[in-house]
Amino acid sequence: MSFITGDAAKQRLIPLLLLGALLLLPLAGHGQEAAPPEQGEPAAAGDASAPGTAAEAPPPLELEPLSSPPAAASVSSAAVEDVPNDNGQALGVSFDWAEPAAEGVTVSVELKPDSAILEEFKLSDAEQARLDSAREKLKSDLGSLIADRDAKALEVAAADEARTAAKNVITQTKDYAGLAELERAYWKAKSEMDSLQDRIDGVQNRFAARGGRKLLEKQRKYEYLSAALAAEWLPTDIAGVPAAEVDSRGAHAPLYGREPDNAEQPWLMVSQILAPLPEALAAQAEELHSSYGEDLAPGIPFPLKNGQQYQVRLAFSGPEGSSPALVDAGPGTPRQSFFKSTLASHFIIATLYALIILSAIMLARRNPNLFIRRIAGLEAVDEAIGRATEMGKPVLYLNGMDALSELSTLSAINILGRVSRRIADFDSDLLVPCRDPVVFSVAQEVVKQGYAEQGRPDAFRASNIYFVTDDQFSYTASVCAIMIRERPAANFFMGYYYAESLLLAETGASTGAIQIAGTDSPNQLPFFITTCDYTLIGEELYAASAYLSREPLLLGSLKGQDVGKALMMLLILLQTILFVAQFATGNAAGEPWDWLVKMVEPL
Amino acid sequence: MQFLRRQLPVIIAFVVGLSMWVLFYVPTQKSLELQDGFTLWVRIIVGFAAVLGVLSVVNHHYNKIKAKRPGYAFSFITLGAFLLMALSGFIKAPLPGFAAGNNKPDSLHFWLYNNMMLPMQATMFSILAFFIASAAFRAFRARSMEATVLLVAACVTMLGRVPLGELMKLGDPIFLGGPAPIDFPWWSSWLLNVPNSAAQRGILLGVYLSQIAVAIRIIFGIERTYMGGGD
Repeated sequence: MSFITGDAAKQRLIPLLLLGALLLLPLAGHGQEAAPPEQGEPAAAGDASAPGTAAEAPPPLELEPLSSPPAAASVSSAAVEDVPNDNGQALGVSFDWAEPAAEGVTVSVELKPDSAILEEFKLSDAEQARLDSAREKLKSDLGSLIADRDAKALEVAAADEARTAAKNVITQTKDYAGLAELERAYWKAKSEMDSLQDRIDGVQNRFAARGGRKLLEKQRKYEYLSAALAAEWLPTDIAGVPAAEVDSRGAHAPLYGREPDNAEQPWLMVSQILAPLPEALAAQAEELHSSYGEDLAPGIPFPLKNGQQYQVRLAFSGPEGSSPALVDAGPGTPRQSFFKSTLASHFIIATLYALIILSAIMLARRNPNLFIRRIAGLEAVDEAIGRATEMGKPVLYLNGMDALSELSTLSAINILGRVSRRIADFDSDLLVPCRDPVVFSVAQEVVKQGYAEQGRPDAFRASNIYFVTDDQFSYTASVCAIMIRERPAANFFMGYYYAESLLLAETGASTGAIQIAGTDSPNQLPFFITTCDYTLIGEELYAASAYLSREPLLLGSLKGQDVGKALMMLLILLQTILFVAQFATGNAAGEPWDWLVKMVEPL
Repeated sequence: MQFLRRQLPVIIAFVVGLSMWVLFYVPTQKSLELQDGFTLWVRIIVGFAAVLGVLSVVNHHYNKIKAKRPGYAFSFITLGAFLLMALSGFIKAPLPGFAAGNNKPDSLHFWLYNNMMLPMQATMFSILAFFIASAAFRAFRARSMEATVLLVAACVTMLGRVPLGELMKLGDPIFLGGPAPIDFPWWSSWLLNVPNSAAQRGILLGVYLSQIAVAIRIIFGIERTYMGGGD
């Protein structure tokens, strides 16, 4: 029945998939950044082979004529480059000071995009017609609601001021009746204002449901951007950065995954252009507010677009409001990477580890008699369930506090599947209060299946697996109450827990139940170890399902894990030796093991 | 039917699992949008599951009241509180002293939350202090070598974290620039930063490797217990 390992034909799928994964490796080179330009070289924007980039048409460094008073800063070179390992929405701008920047100098980056970027926001005739119709309806629906709401807001503010003033002097005036009257006036006005706001929200929601909101946003973006493009150079998210606070390229080493070349060079990353509110629109602001309830933004940010060329310049402003000195940095094109080269070693290790585990699983099919060390907590599962059966008490099982998307919860569910089969065998009762509705649905299905597989579907009681609440301490209170009322003979705490771990386990201990916990939360482990009879520590939680089932394929994966762990220990040891060797030789470059250090370092 | 219950979920787990793994290494805009899309789907599924959760709560307590099981009186309170919170959230009618609407800071719903839910949550959390005391008493009984080491380490850590411990500094530094034999803040920090961190990292390393192994077992359909399916 197994999907992958069930029959010989399907087994062939595994090597094919792994081969496919390995074929992805060469992509590692695709997203790597172009080498940063040498100082004094013209701008080199990202991929040197890309059309329209600086490498194709290197512009000469051009210092624009300075207006008086004189320039605030002197720069010897500036260049634009693609930002490595990103989604193609950023550009790096580097420059070199010809002389140290004077105090108070600020740096801004300005961009001139191609007018083609407007096309994305242009409404078609059909869209324009839909928007006009939706806005017409919005205007008629709103009527005088906005004006009424604004007037009422003033009334509320005045009433609030009056009652606050009265409250402040109430100990002297003792005019409680007057204060009560002011309170009533305030709440009446506030209630009316809230009611008006609700009606406005309703009308706005209907406008959005008709698609008007999205179309309007698109139109506004077009209007802001087209007006901004008329001014040619647009401000960006890098504006007015004090010269002393300009990062060096080395400060962005995580983007490169290594110490970049020219690490000391000043380097700024631009990711947005900002289009300010156009004057034509600003003139209509009052009308738009009162008729359509629309409040215009002072500016709209536009992320840089992948593959779109931008002209870039730096503006250096002086401390006393002098005209900025403008330095052309050339054109640049942000390009997205297809592989995060920063994660190359991570990818290799993960692939290698996956291969080891899959190989171990395949080996386990040939030799199913694998030795797995004894795990006391799991050996005690039968004892705990047996005790509950003898005492005629239920077994309580908790799946942890996290959602099903967490692997610890999935593991807890897997263990629940195994435990429910034993409970069905022993004919005992199982209680599973859940904190997450998805976990509840899955747990119910898993337990039902467990009972069915043991030939006891009649013994399954769906009402014993139920959702309590998703609130942390309400859930804790409920489970503690179950422990005290129902007195379960065995408590299982599997999965991830937070501050409630001790509350649960200590309450369980006070009822005399045998308790088995399993968590991968290092912070809660001490509490479970203290209060539970057996505790599965960290990885034992993930091994439990395989251990209880004794299925060779699952046990094989445990063996693979052990090999992976041994490999990891070797790598850590190797790294330690290399760093000690490097330290002993005074970090001298050119040592024979430098290449090994560079390879191991990112791990 | 068998295909829908057994094989289709495994195929979905395989395709989505592998895609998410590959997408993690691909920083393109499409990749990011796809990852956001998966997150959105999860939120939608959780939204549907919430309805099941509500039905489960009501059903559980209704059955409890119907069967008059021990403590069924609490079920009345639970259902009543559930109804009150739900109504206060849905009904927009203004009540005296409260703002109209269901989602306003001065509404009944928020008042109930701030003045009932939060104090009750705080009460449960504050009980933890007493539970820690009783658990500590049990853990620190020096019955074995390990328990004695634990007791000594705990005492040093606690003393290093209180002003009294800072005043108790005795002896000359053991080595140049090192700590005095009795220097609780230093030894406390050392215990936390060296042996404790080493142990935690060891546990976490095992956890992460195990998580990858579980993910592989699920992606390749080797582990299917979570689907309610057998072998």
